[in-house]
Order: sequence, then C-alpha cells, then structure tokens
Amino acid sequence: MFERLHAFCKTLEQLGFAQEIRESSWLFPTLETVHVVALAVVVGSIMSVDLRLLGRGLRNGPFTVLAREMLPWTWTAFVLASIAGFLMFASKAVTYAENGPFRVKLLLLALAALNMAVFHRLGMRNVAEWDSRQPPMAAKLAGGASLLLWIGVVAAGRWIGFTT
Amino acid sequence: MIENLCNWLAGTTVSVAFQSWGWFVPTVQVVHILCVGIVFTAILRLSVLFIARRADSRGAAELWLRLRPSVWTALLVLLLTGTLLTIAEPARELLNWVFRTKMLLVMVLVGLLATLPRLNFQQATGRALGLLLLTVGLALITAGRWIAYV
Repeated sequence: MFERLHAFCKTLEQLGFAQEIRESSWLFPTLETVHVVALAVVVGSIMSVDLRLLGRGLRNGPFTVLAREMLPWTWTAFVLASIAGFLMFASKAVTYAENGPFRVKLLLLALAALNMAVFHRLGMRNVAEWDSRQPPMAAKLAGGASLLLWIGVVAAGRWIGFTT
Repeated sequence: MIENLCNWLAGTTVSVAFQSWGWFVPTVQVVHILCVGIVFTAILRLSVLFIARRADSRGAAELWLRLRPSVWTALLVLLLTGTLLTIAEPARELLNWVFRTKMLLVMVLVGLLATLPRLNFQQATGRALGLLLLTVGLALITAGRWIAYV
C-alpha cells in the first residue's frame, strides 16, 4: 500500500502544474498565502462556534443562529484551503507524504471531521432545549474537542514548514 | 542604526534563549496564527455586512459590539507574540520592508477599528469602509506570509 502511495506521489509531482509550482519563485508563496487566509477563516469561524458550545460568547445569541451564520464561511474557506493545500502538496508530494507533521495534520483533520459528524448526528438532537442557554456537557465536550483538534491542525501545519 | 539595534537585540540573553529553543518560534507562530484567525474572521464578517447588505452605522455598531471583546483581546495577543517573534529573529523582521509594511497596515487597521463605533455613516460610506477593512485585512495576512520570502 505504501509503495502505491509513493508511486502516486511521484507521478503527481511530475505533472506539469506541480513542476510549475515547484520551479516558480512566486507560485508557492502565493498558494501559501491563499491557504493561510482561508485557514484563518476556517479556524476563526470554527473557534467562535466552539467557544459558544463551551459556554463562552453567550452574548452571540442562540447557538443555531451563530452556527447558521458561520457555517457558509467555514465551508467556503475550507474548500479554498483544500484546493491551495492540494496544489502545494502536489509540488513536493513525496516529501510531504513522508513528513510526520503533515501526516499528523491529516489525521487531526479526519478526527475534527468525525467529531463534527458525531455532534451533528447526536448533539444537535435536543438543541432547542439549550439553544439560548448553557449547552449540555456532551455539547461542551464536542466544542472542546473541536477547539483542541483545530489548534492541533494549525500547529501541525506550522511544523511542516520547519521540517521539510 | 536599525542594523545596530538588530545586532544588539540578537545578542541579548532573552533573544539567544529564544533562538536556542527549537520549539519556541513555531509555537509562538501557532498562537499568532490562531489570533489572526479571530481578527480576520471578524473583519470579514464586518466587511461583508458593509459591502453586501450595505449596513448603516447602527447595524455595524451592533455587530461590532459583539465582536469587539474577542478582537481586542486577539490584537493584544498578536502584539505580544509579534514582539516575541521579533526578539527571537530581529534581523528577519526589522530589516525586512514587508515587515515594516505589515506594521503600517496594523496601525491602519487598529485606527479603523478604534474609530468604528464613533463613525456615523450612511450606506454608501459603509460600503467603502467595508472594502477598505477587507483590503487591509487581506494585505496584512499576505504581508505576514511574505516576510519569510523577501
């Protein structure tokens, strides 16, 4: 399986667009800027929802109103960050695939997605009961886990720059 | 003169300690980025309110009132972490024209945010203000990232 992954990465970084990003003096930094701008919005919007789940920021009103307001920002920025991230990955696919912090970042992203899916399936069932009040313990745990996971995503992302 | 300051700063005990701890700069950068996220998301929400919905000063004031505590706290942490990063790598920051541009943009942003509650504007002015806020926010992040490349 790892051999296949390695072969895929090798093929990917030999594609025309990947070579162009690697060899250009401005393409990679520009993609990185787009990635950071988008990630800032992803993290900023998710953090405000997580903090509300943790009982902070109650002045932001009902949870559902805040979540509805933030969700389009989160998803739009996430798609943008993913596209820029993929293009950066493609430029040095083998190096990144073998990089520890990069793997940790992907794992944390998967865990954050799982946490969100579980919260939406279970935690949102009785949201009407606590929408404008302190959330129950399960919702607080989901918010806390999400906050820690996204801080981890940013940390792992930053460490990639220091280890590649 | 700035070069002398950089040399002096880089030789101080604090700077030498920061440079010797391999984890220090990336850790402080992580906190810096998280706070950038808080501030930029707030800027984006305010700007879009101004630009798309063409809010008047009252609508903007209501949103700003909710965002203000987290934005000012994040800006304070950004000042602290930014100072620590400058102490750790003085030449990388202080001798870089992109860093200086970033500092200028920070001052513009803080000035805009500080005067926001006192502004009494109509929809058209709000739109221009939204565009200005968004441009300054984007330019700030861009400058922050390009410090490493210039």
